[in-house]
This record gives sequence, structure tokens and C-alpha cells, in this order.
Amino acid sequence: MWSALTLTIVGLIALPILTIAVKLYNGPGESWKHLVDTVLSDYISNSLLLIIGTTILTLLFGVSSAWVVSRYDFRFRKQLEWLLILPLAIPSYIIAYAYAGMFDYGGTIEKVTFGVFPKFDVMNITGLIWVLSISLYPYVYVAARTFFLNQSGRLFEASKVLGVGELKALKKLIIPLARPAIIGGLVLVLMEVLNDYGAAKYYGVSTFTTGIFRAWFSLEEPETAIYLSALLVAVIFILLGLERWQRNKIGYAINSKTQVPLIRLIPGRKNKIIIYLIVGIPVFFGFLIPLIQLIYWALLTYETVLNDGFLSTAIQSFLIAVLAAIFTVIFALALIYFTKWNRLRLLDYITKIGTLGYAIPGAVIAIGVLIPTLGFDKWLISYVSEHFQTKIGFFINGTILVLVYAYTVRFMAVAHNPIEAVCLKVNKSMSESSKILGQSALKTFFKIELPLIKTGVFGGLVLVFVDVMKELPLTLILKPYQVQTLAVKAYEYASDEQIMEAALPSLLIIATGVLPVILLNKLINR
Amino acid sequence: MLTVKNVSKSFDKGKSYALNNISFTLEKGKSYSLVGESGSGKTTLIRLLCGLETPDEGVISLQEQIVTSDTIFITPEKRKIGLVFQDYALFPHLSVYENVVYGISTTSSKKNRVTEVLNLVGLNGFEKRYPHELSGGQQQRVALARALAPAPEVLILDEPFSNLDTSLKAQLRNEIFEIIKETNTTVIFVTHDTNDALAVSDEILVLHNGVLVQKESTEMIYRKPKNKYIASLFGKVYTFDDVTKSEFGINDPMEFCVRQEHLQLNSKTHYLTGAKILQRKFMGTYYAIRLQVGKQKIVVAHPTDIKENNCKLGFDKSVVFSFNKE
Repeated sequence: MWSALTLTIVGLIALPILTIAVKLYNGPGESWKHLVDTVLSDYISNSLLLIIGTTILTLLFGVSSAWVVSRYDFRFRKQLEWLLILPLAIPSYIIAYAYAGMFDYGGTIEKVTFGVFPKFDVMNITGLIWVLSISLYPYVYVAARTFFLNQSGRLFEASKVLGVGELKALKKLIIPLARPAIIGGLVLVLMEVLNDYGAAKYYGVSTFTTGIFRAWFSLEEPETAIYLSALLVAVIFILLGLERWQRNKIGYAINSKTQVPLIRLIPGRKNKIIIYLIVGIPVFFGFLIPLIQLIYWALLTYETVLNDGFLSTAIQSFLIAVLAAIFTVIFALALIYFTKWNRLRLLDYITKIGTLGYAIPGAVIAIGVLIPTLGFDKWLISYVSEHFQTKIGFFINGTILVLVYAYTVRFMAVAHNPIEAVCLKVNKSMSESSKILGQSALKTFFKIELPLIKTGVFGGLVLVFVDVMKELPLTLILKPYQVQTLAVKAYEYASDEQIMEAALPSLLIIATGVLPVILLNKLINR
Repeated sequence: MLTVKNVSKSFDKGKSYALNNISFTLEKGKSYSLVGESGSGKTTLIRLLCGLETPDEGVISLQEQIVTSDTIFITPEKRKIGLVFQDYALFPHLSVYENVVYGISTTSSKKNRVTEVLNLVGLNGFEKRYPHELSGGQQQRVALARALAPAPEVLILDEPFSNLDTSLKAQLRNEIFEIIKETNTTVIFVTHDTNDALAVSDEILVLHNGVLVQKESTEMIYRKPKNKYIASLFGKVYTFDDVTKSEFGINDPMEFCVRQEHLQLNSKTHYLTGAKILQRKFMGTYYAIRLQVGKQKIVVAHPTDIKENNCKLGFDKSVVFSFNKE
């Protein structure tokens, strides 16, 4: 029974991806050739430039700041340590709006400098690289810092007693050993870069994701959108493959049990300035500047924005995120435990498919969800009308069911990974002991395992909740007409040249994002 | 009451066997020790008995009812086998009372049963405490009480004393086995410490490389081990082929061994041989005398010091084991 249930869940999660794969056989749409001749090279070159640019900048910001806070002790270090993670709480498209508004004609920069610093065009690919890097570098920062704090102490000591200096140890020992962790963080950055729609669309940079939207909405050619999606997924799988390859290539493991904490040095005066610059730049440009800009705009516009409609949008956003978080966590728990309870070892591998959604861009998942659910709805309408002589509307599409389903597919890994990590820490003898004492698998789960993994479950709930609150491309495609979310509202304001009005919904999204970032930081420090 | 027949288990599709064709029967109310080195198959055997693993072949029956075979598999929760884990596996979020009551299925007398077993292990008054508020010994007793509470037919103790100090271990071991004896439960005590096995069990089962090499009473297994490996599990043994060949003749397939504690110095014994004293060490109640006898170095416990450089090493005929050479 557990095997059948596991397969059902994996099947539901894999359905959108399978749909894309199957639909590829139907061939591309009419405008595919035109697309190949004209804009496809732009999509490819822009996406490549974005990948290269964000790789360089996120590595620069992420690794240098992680090293500095791990190795040196200085005033406000602890505060800066978690401030460095906070840009993660601001969706890239919101940082993009803030920068665009700041550097525009009559923007904040022009006002503050009394016109000395005139308009500066950030709405191009260089601006987009900057915006994406400054908002996504925390993925690299978190990965590198975790390694530096937990794994490098003993290695550094060993290197010191061999008479090797700080810089050489860093170059020869620490950075090469931290490379797998850093690349792990970088891959997350690049997946987010390729997933981005809001910032690229606003800055007028054509990428795969904006191309998918164009094919779907402007050209009204699902086949072409599917072809672009497949290309994008192929790029992502190549990235993931490279990451897996570099990790598997390593033939050693660092013994974490014998590690000691890295002892922090007190920097000299000259070094202090460099250190404050290293940690200050990302915090200032990635969090403080956009936040101050948004607060300023919100103060200017709150009287017009803050109305019943806004409140209703906030409540809808919140409820959809709660619902999606609950569903995703239940599915993740089911996947973890059903796999544990079934006797078919082969299923262990199949369940990995269940967590693939996070690697697939939201726009692609949206299309993959839309096609089969529309098919199901149409079948249901004709079945009911034929057998019950009653007319019904769409059952999945046109309701929030389609959104919740798509969010579950997209964010399954976000819930699955922290829960699984906690599950692995619960000693196997706990559940075996309960079974030997006569309790069934389900009772063992509710009475013994669930109370022991509740922190992981809570973590999963919060992380999915925040991701759903921020999500834009998938929501834009799938959201029913009458449903509105804060992310979509902010996007609509920005697209309608009402950038200031976008500030309030953006600030609300940021507020919900700050909490788990603090939680995440606490978990690292444990 | 517990029968294991031709049970085998491999974890690598038959390339090697964790358990190879094991068969034995255990009687009700008796204590058994399962001994063997790490990797001998002890853990695999108890996991099969509990139903936490399935064998590749063989049949396991409890109280004349088959619980594991090719076609039948009774899940762990439905077998009446209790297990005290090496790490106790107490549920950290449940109190002592909640831990102990957890496995009791009757609805009426749960509270009485908890009181009864907590009385038995001497932990009355600890009901509201949580595992982390107890000492190692107390946690051990709670684990025992919890396993005894559902009144299992067979109770398995998986290396339960390995996490305890040596000073606490002997006392707790004796107390726990006294408690279990009172319940008339069949016990399988898994250990790699043969002194523990000798101290508490009626019979000992020796596993070696996945094979059950001997199952005998404690005295028989000590006095009549089937091979040199089993003999050496219960203390140091030395081979004396040269000394004994006059009696037994030169017989290549056989080797003759004597336990360290049966060796005597400068005494009147059946067999005697010359030895050179290499070292003397005062050990409190005895002297450890290190000797060179032929090619081997031997240590003998002697009540007094020996001043000379040479001595006579001897032993009686009755203490000599003869084994087929492996």
C-alpha cells in the first residue's frame, strides 16, 4: 500500500515535467522558426551573460563576506552576520524596482545629490546582473560560512603548526576544500537567475523565462513555450549535472567530529577598514538601500494604496501561502514516510523525482500544470454533463486548487529537505522500539516521530510559506482572475509605471521574509 | 518455545552471508547469551527474531506459531518479543510513565501494570521524570521496564551494559537478571563480553562469521569448547603440542591447548616443561610472571614472586583441550 501511495505522490509531482516532455513530440509551433532566426540567440546570449555575471559577483560578495565574518572579530560582527543574509528576504524583482526608481529621472539619487548625479540607466543587462547578484549572493554566503565555521578550524590549526601563513592556507587549503559547498550555493543562485521573470521583464532583458511568457501570452503558442521550457530545463540539468559531477569527483570526506571552531582574529586598523567594506557593501546595496527606498515610497503612497482591496489582497496572499505550505509539508512527510515504510528499495530512487520541482523554473511548472489540469477539467465537464445532465465550471483551473498544486510541485524540495534532515537525526531505534512495543507504523509516526521532527516540519512550513508569498512567474500564469496576491499586485503596479505604489505590497512581502531568514541564521549558529 | 530453523541472511545478494543456515531452539524461562565478535551476525540475528529484517530463507517460530517463513511474516508489533536497545531508545519527549505505558495494550489495568514493572526495577516515584533527567543506570531500568510491561514471551537485551562504567556494570547486570528471572521470561542477552555471558545465562550461543558454532550450557562451553576460537573467547589459551606429544603422540591434525588460569609454576602436575622467566610484575593479589617456553611467550599468575631465572611450567591432564587443527 505504501509503495502505491508513494508512486501516486511522485506521479502527481512529476506530471508537469512529464507533460512538457510528452508535448515536445508534437513539434514546435508556427513561430518557432521565426523565434530561432530572431530572438533565440538573444535568449541564449543574455542568459549566458547573466550566468557569468552573477557567478562572478555572487562569488565575490558571498565568499569574501563569509570568510571575514568567520575569521575576524570586529564590532557589530554578530549583527552584520545576519544582516548579510537579509537580502534573501527581498525578491529580486523588488530590488530591481527600487534601483530603477532610484536612478530614474527625478529619482532619489538625483534629488539627494541636487542634480549633481544625473539619471543613470540601470535598466539593462548590466543593471540586471547587479540586481540579481546583490539579492542572491546570500546563497553563496550561507554555504561558505557554514563550511568555514564548522569544517575549517582543525585544518587551519594543522596548517599553522606546519608554519604556513594565513593567505597561503586560505588559497591552498580552505578555498579548495570549501569549493563543493560554495558551488552548491552558486547553483542555487543560478537556478534563481534562470527562474527570474519579474526583474528581467522590468529591465527589458530577453531571457528564456520572458520568452516563455511571450510565446504563451503574446504569440499564444503553447507549443513554442514548451520548446523554450524544455531548452531551459536542459540548461538547468546541465548545471545540476556539473554540480553533482564536481561533488562526486571528491574522493575524501572531512571528519566533522574532530573539528574545532575557527578561532577569530582581531584585525588591525588598516584591515578593519577593508573588512567593513567587504561586509558593508552587500548589506548596504542589497538590503538597506532598497529597503529605505521602499519605505520612502510607501510613506508617499500609503494613503492611496492602503484600502480594502489591498487588505483583501494581503489576506488572500497569506491564506494561499498557508494552504500551499500545509499541503506541501503533508506531501513531503508522506513521501518521506511512505518510502520508509514500503519494502521496495527501488522507490528510494524514484522519490528523488518528487523533489525536482525546485530546479524547474516557475513558468515551466505553470505550463506543465496548466496542460494536464485543463485536460482533466474539460473531461470532467463533459463527463458530468453527459452522465448527470448538469453544467459545471472548471474544477481545478479557475480555483486556487491549481495554484496550490503548482506551488506544491515547485516547492516540494523546500519542505522535503529540512524535514528529511531532522528525520535522519532521529535514531532508527526509536521507531523500531515503538513497533516492537506493538504499535503500528501510523501510530508510531504520530506518537513518536512527529513530536521529534516538529522543528523540521515547522521549518519546512515557514520556508514554503515565504517562497509562496514571493513567487511571481508561476502565479502570474496560473492565478484565477478573481484571485490577487501581493507579489502580483507589486508587479502590476511596477508594470503600470506606478513604481511608488508597488512599495507597500513589496514591504509586506519583505516583512514575511525576514522572519525565516533570522530562523535560518539561528539554525546555522547552533 | 522459540525455534530458528535454517535461517540465512545476506546483504549483498549472496556474495557473503551475515547469517548462514542457523538453527536452534530456546526453552521457556531460561536465559541465553548470544556471544561473538563484531560482525559475527549477532545484531542481524536479533533483528530477524524481532521482525525488523526478513531472512533470505529459513523459518522462525514462537510458541509453535510460525512468525517468519517464505510465505508468512508477522510484523514486529504483532510478535511478543521485547527488545532493550543498546542505546535504550527511550522516547525523549515522553515521561517515564508514558514510556512504560506505551506498549501496554490492555485498557483496564495499564496504571497497575506500570506501577508493577516500575516497582520491579526499583523506580517507583520516577513516573513524571523525563529520560534526560535520569542517570545512565536509571535510563537502563526504564528501558527494561518498558520492554517488560507488555509481558513479552521473549526479551532480547542488545549489549545493554556497553554504555555503562565498569564499576556500575556488574552490579546492574546482576540486579537486572534477578528482576527478569522473577518474570519467568525467556531472555536472549547479546554481548561480546563473555564474563557477562558466564555470569548471567543458563546457556550460551556462540556465533562466528555468521555461523552458530556452539550452543551449550555455560559450564560445558567453558570446559568443552568445540574449537580453539570458542575457547579463546572465554580467556587466553596456549598451545602445548610439544609438551603433550609424549602422551598423545604426534598427531598433526590435532592441537592441544590449556587455559591461562590452569597453568601452574613449580608444582606437581601431569605435564612439566622448562621455562625461562623474562619478567615479573606485582599485580596486588598475585605476580604476573612472563615466561619464554619454546617459541612462545606465556604469562602466568603466581601467588608469590620467583627469584630464579628459570622455572618449571606445568598443568594437569584434565585441563587439556584437544582440537582439530584449523
